[in-house]
Amino acid sequence: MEILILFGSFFLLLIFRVPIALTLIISSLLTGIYMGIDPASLVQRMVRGLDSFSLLAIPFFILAGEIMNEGGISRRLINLANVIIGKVRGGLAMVNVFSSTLFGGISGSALADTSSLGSVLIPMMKKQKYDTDYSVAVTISSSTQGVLIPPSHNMIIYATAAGGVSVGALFIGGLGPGLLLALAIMILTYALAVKRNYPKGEAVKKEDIPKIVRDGLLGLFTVVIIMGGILSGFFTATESAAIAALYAFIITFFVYREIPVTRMGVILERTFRTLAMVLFLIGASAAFGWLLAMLKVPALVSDALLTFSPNDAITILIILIILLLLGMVMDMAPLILIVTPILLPVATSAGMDPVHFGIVLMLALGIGLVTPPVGSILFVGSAIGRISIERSAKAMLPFYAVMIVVLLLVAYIPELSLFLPNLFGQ
Amino acid sequence: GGSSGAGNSDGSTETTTLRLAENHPDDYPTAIGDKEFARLVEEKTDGRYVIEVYAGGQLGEESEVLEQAQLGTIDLARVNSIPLAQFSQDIGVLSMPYLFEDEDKKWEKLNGEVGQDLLATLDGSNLVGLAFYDSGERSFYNTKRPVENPEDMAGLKIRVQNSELAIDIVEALGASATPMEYGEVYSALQTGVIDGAENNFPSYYTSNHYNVSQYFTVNGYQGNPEVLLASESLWNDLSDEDKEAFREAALESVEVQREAWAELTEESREAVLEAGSELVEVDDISEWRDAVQPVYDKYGDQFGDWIDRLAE
Amino acid sequence: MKTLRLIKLILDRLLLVVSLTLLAVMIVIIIYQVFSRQILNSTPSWSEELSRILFVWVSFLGIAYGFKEKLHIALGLIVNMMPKKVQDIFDYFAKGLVIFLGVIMIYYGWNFTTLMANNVMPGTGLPSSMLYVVMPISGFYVTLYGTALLFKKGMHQEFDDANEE
Ligand code: NA
Ligand code: NA
Repeated sequence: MEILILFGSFFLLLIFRVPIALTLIISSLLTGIYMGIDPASLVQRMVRGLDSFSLLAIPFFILAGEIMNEGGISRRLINLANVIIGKVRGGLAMVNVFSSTLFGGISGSALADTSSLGSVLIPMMKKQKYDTDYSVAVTISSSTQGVLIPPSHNMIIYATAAGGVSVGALFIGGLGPGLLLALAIMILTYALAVKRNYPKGEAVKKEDIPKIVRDGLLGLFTVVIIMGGILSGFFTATESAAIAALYAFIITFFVYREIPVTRMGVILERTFRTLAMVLFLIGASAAFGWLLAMLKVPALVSDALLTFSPNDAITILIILIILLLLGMVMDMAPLILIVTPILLPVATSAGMDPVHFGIVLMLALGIGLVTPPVGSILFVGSAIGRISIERSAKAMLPFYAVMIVVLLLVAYIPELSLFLPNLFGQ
Repeated sequence: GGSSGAGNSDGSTETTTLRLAENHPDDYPTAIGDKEFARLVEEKTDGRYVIEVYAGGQLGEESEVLEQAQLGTIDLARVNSIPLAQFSQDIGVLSMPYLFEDEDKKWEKLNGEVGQDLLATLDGSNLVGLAFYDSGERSFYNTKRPVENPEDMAGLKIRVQNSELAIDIVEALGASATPMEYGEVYSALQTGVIDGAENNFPSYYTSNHYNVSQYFTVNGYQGNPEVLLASESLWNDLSDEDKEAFREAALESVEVQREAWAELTEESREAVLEAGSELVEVDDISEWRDAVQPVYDKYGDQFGDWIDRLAE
Repeated sequence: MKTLRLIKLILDRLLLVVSLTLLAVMIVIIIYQVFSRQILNSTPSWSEELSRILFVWVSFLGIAYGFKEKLHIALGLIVNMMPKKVQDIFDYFAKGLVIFLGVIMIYYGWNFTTLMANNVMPGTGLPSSMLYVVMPISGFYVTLYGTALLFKKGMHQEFDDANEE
């Protein structure tokens, strides 16, 4: 009965268009009151769900991304990508994919990627006579790399939800699958560009190259700081995030010097806005997840799935299908928080390492960001390209296929995710 | 308790299900003790009270569980004595180094009147202490050299828990104390950010610290016990006979818990030896006792009475 | 009416200024902690705990701010297909829930805060109430903004101008 109240009120409020975080906390409160639990307990869970040192990395990664963005990092990364890959057929499309790979190393957010790179690149591509739907599809599919390539604040959310999974291991583990995804999207982008005879990119003036490379690499050094700091044990994930933000501050205001330091007020406010959204979800999910544990829901789901499934491979397939379906209708952060306590035990009993599962989770839910009917990146990308969501989704079809192939590879070949973490003893 | 089913004050035979929070895994000695406690309570109350153990930290970390127990949402909990010091400063005495002469003395005291008196200092915090469980003795291990006597500790950077007393002990031994989150210790040992840490055999083994820090000095300097406790709101609902039954069950479960602990310690000890750890046995513990005297000078006033009663 | 609007303006301003200040202080503390650990070779015992407290404060003030700025995401799949009038009804329902949450946060948050007055946090020695008192404070703002939303159209951001995740 308690379980019915919890999930019943949750789904009902969800389809009533009540904000997701509010839905989570209200359904927890209703269930708690029914069970005779003091509502103060749920209030405590919200606070304690947020009272974690690893979560503190999130504001720093967001801040670093905001500072870099405001200081004009997008343009510099696009220029750098252009020097490296721009001269091939469909050059600008390839630059689009590759600059997202680079951007992923600075920002933990796929949405920030789409909005900042997309608003520069989609108009440029249109001008060079690329089809708009193709431009949008390339932009949004490539931006999903951001959730896999470190840093990724969604991975921190997963690490917290999973309890005790190393953020360092997740970060370094995501690199391989992230680059695999980049490669797969690049091949498809190139094949389509050749087929449709899109233009080659323009050559860059030789004398400009050193400055372009220097400016781009200075920004990219962020990921070196973060990964180097974590892997050497010199910094914790949170500390490395703080140092990355400090570095972004120095590069933007003392090296690039495009904007005055007084812009920090606006940057802080923007960081706060993003935080407000993400952190309410985390707090509310902590209360909801605690009730799930009280009601032993994870064990129930796990038992049911495992009795139903004949072998591990099929269990994993079921997990993937569940994640893709949920990803189609809900956003990434709340899903991570809700499904991790339920599906992680199933995944581990199917032989998956928690780090491996985390990376599969990122990719599966990342695909959800670009699929209809609810996909925030699909929405933003279509809005920037000024085309309908239906048209973008249709242009995305070959990209969906490629992403799902990559997802299957990552799910069934654990070494792709675990090779690097094992190598570095994380 | 605040959980399912009604109370039994009307004399009916209805069953009340209680929640017990445990942050170690299901097969850990403390969880084994919890389950024995649960079995005994059910037996002694003729099935009127059923206790479900939520192991593996499902209901939160120890400090969160304590707050929930204060509210009465969680009926029973097993936590270490260290976080309890925030409710009763007196319980902090259990962190003092070389507090007991030996194991026998320690358990004679903890299971006896002094132990119950110490638990009674929780009064006023909405918590009721029932019994102490074993979590062995903590010793030092390091990456640099076999440490045989306190002089060998000089200059080593040792990770400690974030408390003033923990820092004072390590510094009294001539080493330098580095407070750090437990999860970071492995890579910090590996990369040389610290030279050593301290813990009991099972933790040294399960945390894999033995992989990166091979010299383990068996000098058991500190033995904070675990505590089984009830929320006051559950306690107030119990009849006097039931209170007695809960207390008896708790004390009787200690033996099973301690056996499980001894077994795990032995297993871990063999496992780390096999993996190549070098165990340095300490013949003369008195020089270690002498070395921590400054800690007693500093905290003597605060814990004086308890130190006397526990040591007599 | 004019004074009421002025008071709300001051309260709005206060929320944002306090939140951004706490956020900035938190950032500085962590950077100081890294500096202290790596360069001065000693980790302060208060820094981690204090930054966590500030983080919880920023989070909870953010909940209220999020309602004011219509930041909290919802699933519009089904309601979006309905006529505008019906959508408004659903919005009023959600706004009612916002106020309900605010009241719960004030009442139970305050109770819990007083219950925790004697619990001491190990790192800073501050009472745990310092952590929890943000609940009723934030609850006050949530109630305020939930009520203010009753006088405004809608409660969700449009996706076109979303540039955060
Ligand atoms: Na990233
Ligand atoms: Na892109």
